[in-house]
Amino acid sequence: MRIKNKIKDQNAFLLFFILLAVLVAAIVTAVGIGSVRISPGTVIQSILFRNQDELSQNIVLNMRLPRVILAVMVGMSLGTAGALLQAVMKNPLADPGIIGVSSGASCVAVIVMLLFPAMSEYIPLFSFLGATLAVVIVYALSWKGGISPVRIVLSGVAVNAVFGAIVSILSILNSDKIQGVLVWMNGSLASKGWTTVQNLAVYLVIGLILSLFCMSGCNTLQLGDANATSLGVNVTKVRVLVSLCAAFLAGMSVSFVGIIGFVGLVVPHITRMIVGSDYRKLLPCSMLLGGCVLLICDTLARTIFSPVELPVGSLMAIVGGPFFLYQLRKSRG
Amino acid sequence: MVTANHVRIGYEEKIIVEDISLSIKEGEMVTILGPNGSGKSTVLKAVCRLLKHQAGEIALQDKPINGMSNREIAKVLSVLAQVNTSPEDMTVRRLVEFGRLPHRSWYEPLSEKDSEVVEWAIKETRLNGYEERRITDLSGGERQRAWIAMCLAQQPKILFLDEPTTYLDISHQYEVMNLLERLNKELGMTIVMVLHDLNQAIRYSDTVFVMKKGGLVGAGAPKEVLTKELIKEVYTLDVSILPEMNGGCPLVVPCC
Repeated sequence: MRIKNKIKDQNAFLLFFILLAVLVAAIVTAVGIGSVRISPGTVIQSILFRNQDELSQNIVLNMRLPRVILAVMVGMSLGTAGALLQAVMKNPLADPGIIGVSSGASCVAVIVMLLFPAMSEYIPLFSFLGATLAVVIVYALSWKGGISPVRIVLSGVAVNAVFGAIVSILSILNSDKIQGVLVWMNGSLASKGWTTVQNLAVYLVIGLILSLFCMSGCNTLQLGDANATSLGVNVTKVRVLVSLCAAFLAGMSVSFVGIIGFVGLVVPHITRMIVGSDYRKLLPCSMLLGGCVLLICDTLARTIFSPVELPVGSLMAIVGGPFFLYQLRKSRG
Repeated sequence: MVTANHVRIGYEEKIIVEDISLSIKEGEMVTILGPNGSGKSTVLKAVCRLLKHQAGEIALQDKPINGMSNREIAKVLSVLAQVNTSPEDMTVRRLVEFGRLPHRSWYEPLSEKDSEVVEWAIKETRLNGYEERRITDLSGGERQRAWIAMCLAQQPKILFLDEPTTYLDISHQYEVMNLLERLNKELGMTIVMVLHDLNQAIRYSDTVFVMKKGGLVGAGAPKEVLTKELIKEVYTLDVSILPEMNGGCPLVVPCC
């Protein structure tokens, strides 16, 4: 038993570095894949130094790299947001996409885009508000002297449906302006440049650093509210902070790339199987694995039916849906 | 140690305990008794601040608990809930380490003193050799001891336990009760618990509080308080009380 535990400890470190290596390798490979293939050597050369060939230099730096980085950042934030929500809702099924957090964010964002286009600069802020609103509603609906996993999923489905319906109604009423919004809603990383990357990076770095401060709180929440209180933890405060952090991360990704579900479900689960439930290990590893998973998925999404590109959100749902059902069967209560 | 003065407790609209006053002295072993729904767990939860009281005053070491921070309370008082859940892969040592939480900041690693206290708590609960076992792999009695060890690592002056023996078989019940008695006798730890078994209450406690429908109907030394008449009144059950034998305690036996 002692040995088993030691292995888990080493696993966490090992996995962290393996994931880091995989992530770098995936970035280099993903940048190379596309209608024009570029060898990993050339990719590395183009990123780190300069490449004599203007064309491949341009493809690497201006077309593919921003998208690849975007995928990694969004994956990181969704993986982290999922892990945080799972701790705060004590539910392995909590994922920002499934329990309506992302649709809350997108709903408010769509309202602003369509009805108050002048304020579209502030969309990240509104998405955050929408995400927070959704968390509060799900929480209020499923709280009954405690929270049961099934009730959270049910209220999440309802919240998801309502926000989704509002978005559909709005898009029908504003069908003339909907084109751009539509692509965004399905979750797509296509045609985003360095500006998007820079803007999102600022928010995500803040969110990801804040999330590292939640690790200890998440650990105590796992012991139940009564025990956490007995240990001197202010449970309500921790809950609010962790939820806000998750809503921030989910809301930010939604505001830039739309709804991408299931990353926050699949990633923390796989990480938990490898490093265990200690959030000091779980959270950083989920962060990296999230980046890897979404990058691989996005690369597949843009290459399987090339030149037609799939929205990465749809592809993620095809992979994640069955996984969700499997989890649902496994969880009791 | 702990006093409650005209305290009203309830959940939102529903008031469970209208007005209760009680006082727990330092170094005592105290049991709260009463039938299901009499409000005994509610009182326990209120006194250890897991449930906010709606009126009156509860004081811990002469300081009102409403004015104390949660962490300040946690350094003096620890609670073992009735039902405890932990992640599947939680080991005994990690669980016990949580007990050090009130004594250090969340970003600080475990200090040498923390590790010593953790070792001590594990030893006190006779869990040496079980440190790396998972909580979910332990037997009911061992699991209960592991949770008590977490409480001990808090180094509380007073320990509250909500039905610590309810889900255990008879030998594990006495194992836990003997452990509590030892903590009380050897460390002078004040212990307050909710029990169902009248005989365990008589055997182990210095003071019992008997509750019925949210009110206190008896308080004092168990042999004096737990009379045939009181038990009949509170539990609506006819009992005979057998006198002490073999240097033991009186035994409550139902007549049916």
